[in-house]
Amino acid sequence: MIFNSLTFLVFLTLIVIFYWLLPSQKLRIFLIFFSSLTFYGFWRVEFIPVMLFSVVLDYFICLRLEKASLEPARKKLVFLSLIGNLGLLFYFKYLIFFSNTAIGFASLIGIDLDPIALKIILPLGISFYTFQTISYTIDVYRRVIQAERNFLLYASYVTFFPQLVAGPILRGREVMHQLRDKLVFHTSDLAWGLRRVFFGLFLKVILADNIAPLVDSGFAISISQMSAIDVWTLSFLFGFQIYFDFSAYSHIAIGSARMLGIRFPENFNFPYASSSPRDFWKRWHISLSSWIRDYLYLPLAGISLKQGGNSEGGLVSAITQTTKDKALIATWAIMGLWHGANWTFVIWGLYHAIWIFAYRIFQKKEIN
Amino acid sequence: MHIIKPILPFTLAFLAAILLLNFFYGRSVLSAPKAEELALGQDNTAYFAQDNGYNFHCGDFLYFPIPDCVQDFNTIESLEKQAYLLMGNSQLHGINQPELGLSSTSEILYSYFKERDSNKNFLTFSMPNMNMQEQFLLFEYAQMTLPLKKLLLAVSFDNTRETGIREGLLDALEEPEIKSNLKASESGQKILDLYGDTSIEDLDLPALKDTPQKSVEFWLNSRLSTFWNAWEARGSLRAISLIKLYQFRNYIFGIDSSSTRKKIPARYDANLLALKELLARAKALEIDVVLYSAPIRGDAKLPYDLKEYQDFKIDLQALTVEHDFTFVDLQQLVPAQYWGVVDSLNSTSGSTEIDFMHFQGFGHQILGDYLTELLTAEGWDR
Repeated sequence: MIFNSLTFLVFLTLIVIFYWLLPSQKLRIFLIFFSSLTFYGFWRVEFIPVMLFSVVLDYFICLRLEKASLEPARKKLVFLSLIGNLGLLFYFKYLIFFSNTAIGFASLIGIDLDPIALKIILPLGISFYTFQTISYTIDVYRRVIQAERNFLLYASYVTFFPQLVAGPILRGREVMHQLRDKLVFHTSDLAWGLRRVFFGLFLKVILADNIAPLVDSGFAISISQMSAIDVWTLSFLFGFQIYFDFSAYSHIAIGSARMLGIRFPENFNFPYASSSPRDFWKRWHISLSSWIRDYLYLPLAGISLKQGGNSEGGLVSAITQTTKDKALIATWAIMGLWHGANWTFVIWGLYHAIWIFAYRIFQKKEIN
Repeated sequence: MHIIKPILPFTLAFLAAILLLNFFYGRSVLSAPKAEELALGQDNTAYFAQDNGYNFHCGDFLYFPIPDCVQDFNTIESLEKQAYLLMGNSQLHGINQPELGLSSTSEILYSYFKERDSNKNFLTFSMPNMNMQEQFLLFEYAQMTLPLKKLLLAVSFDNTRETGIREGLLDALEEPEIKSNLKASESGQKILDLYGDTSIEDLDLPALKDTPQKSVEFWLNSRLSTFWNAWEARGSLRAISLIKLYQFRNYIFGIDSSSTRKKIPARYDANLLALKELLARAKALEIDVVLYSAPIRGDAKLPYDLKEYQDFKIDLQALTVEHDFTFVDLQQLVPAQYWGVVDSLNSTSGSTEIDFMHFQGFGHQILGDYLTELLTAEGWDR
């Protein structure tokens, strides 16, 4: 289901009414889980099992993780989760891209391979829910949280409809306790949530969707026929279009969840007002940036987290700068690839890495 | 009260928004029910002539639908029937000050050829600002659905400033044969890339295409439309809001109907390419083409850059020569007294400005007479 539709508004209204009328949290979780599957099924029913595969896999892995005491066995379980989730992501999102790249490389060395005729549809939200289940498993492995025994509660956390389409990428520790506790209805939550939903719709329908045709027609023009002003205008318009579009989804997600009494972390914080490239990524798609930092950059850089903490809490820093730099480059390349299966996205990620490096050097010189 | 208090401002704002929307609907949509009239302004009337219920002048697929013209043409029981087609912008159906005489170029051409030979049926497809990509698409539609023999193309410099296919013509892209024909040309491929996978139903929310949500959304919209007129008219309300924004922009920048409209190079090239490919396709199908640059009001400073306008006409001539077709420049054909005024482009207060595009009924008579003479000389009546 897409947010900017009448169907969603009716769906949300019905869910909010039923949710608060239900007498127990058990029934509410039941409602959340099945309404989330309905929400997803409104796009394509056949991809519900794909999502449930990821949900079920990590549920059982985490139960085993908690029982396992030996480190090699625990690592094997985490590895299994990574294989399962990244395997899904690889098949649905990256297989065509990598096979085309392989064919391209082969032809460079004179081997002609026939392109594989693949018709793979990318399941909606797969990049989000796989990241959520991975983070849940790693958090259990790191003993940041305990494995959840209530399957419906855990499945509701992963499939919770407001964040299913475009995030924020939630951590288990942020949401599961809210789902577990019996929440009390407050009209202030409802009003606040409604405001966020309508503000999100305003950003999406009034701003982003009206800028989009201008941007599309701009991109359809050959660059040789554009003046400098055209190019700058197009760049700014596109920047605003994606910001309004993406942040709109976050506003609607945060607002919808709040109407059910559940608080999501903020995902955007005026990113275009940031003072540095690093600051920008602390304000733009915050849940992704922090996910990438905690589950990709820190492990790649060899920085471990203290039990129960996150990267803000306790870093053990005995790592060389070169290792950190290499980790940063790899992280950004992967960050780019997460956004889209194309080399242009990898380049885009590396471009951001360059800015961050450049800013670091500039900052050091300034301090000196 | 403390429970209601937090939600009260939102509820009031929501109700106020609905009331405002209804008020806006009453003020704007109800007083200007036809989209065509809205685009032409108060002093002009959209006139799509008929012959005792037989449609020979159509708009697009939504307003005076083209399939009606095709269907009526197909009722003619003659094995030798031929379709002659005139295509152009709103100049062909816009009549300035209709109280001075209601006549259209389309009507004159239709009657003239019908009197000469009942097998030669003149049809007209016209829509506001029809650009050459749209003409190319409609040409493909016409040659597929009609025994098209002759094509009279009206082109205006204004229409080179727009590209793309509008909602009203997207139905033409539903035909697989048209799609496959378009694939053979660069312009056609561009059209397919941008619009080939979009039907009118999907325009409101293209992301819903092929999803189960689509039918639910459609059902909800139709239910809501039955008891809330403003919801049904949301497309018109959106269009009116954009016109108001456009007028506001014109007001801010001091733009009026006589402001110079510069060439937009990329769009100009895309249009000329579409025209070139249309002419090549017509040549291949042995369809005779006459191209004319539309008359424009001549008693005031032209709203174009003169050099760009001259170059445009040179380009048109070069294209017709290349394909061995005829081109005529009708810039000054209609004398100043047969033109009129149009609603101001930058105000909603009722003030008017010179109309450079639409003339009175007598202007249509002059253009119609000229074209009948020209086409007769070209042998179209034989």
